[in-house]
Amino acid sequence: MSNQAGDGVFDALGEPARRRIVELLRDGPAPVGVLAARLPIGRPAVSKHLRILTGAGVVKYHSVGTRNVYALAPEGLAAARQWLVDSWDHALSEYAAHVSEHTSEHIGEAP
Amino acid sequence: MTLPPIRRELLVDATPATAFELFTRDIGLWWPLERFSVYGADATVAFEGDGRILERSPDGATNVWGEVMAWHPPRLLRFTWHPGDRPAPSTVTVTFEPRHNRTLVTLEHTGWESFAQPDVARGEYEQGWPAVVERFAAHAAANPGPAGSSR
Repeated sequence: MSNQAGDGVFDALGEPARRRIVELLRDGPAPVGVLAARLPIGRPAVSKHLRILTGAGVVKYHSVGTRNVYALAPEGLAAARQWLVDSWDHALSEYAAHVSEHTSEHIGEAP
Repeated sequence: MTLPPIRRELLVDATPATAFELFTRDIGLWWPLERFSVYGADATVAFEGDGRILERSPDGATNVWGEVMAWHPPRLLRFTWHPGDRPAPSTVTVTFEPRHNRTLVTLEHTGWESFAQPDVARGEYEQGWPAVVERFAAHAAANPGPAGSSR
């Protein structure tokens, strides 16, 4: 239920190492080994983070020979956008309800 | 990759002046802190006199969500938006336009996608896009709210 697409994106990016991986992938697609060499964490940890990023739709991969090459997934940003849209809609509906209460209070106060 | 800015509209039964005042003065009353906040449901949030949008926890901790860039009651309000401590280039603009006896409130959120623009984001990535909303995500509940009602 809480696995709204956008939730997944922001949960995935709530972790510094995963944000760093996304940053590295902005330079272009890369396999796990190349990413691990540029990060202060081990290759298994990088793989784990990549799984989470892939699951959230932020990162995609394709196989080249025996290894996977990872890249940023354009759809990930769309999911993030949708999450923000839903969040603003929720906040604004609360605002609208507050305005309605205020208005009806005034009506109620009229003698 | 380019995405359109986030733009939401709703009609409220109030004059622009009232709608503006309720949006700003009363943000602590309507903002869904239980879902979107750094400190949770018991915190408060307000537009401060110094232009900051400040969340306060019950024990006095504070978090700056943004800074007012333009304050033109009753028509326009613009502020930077970066809940969760770190600066980000994200900007929110809210306008209040009369529509018959009501007010059309339009909210536009731009710059949140800057992580996709390496030139902009490179130097500030750690403070960038994820920070805009990561605190939101931490408190996000299961169901997205209904669309801002325009009846």
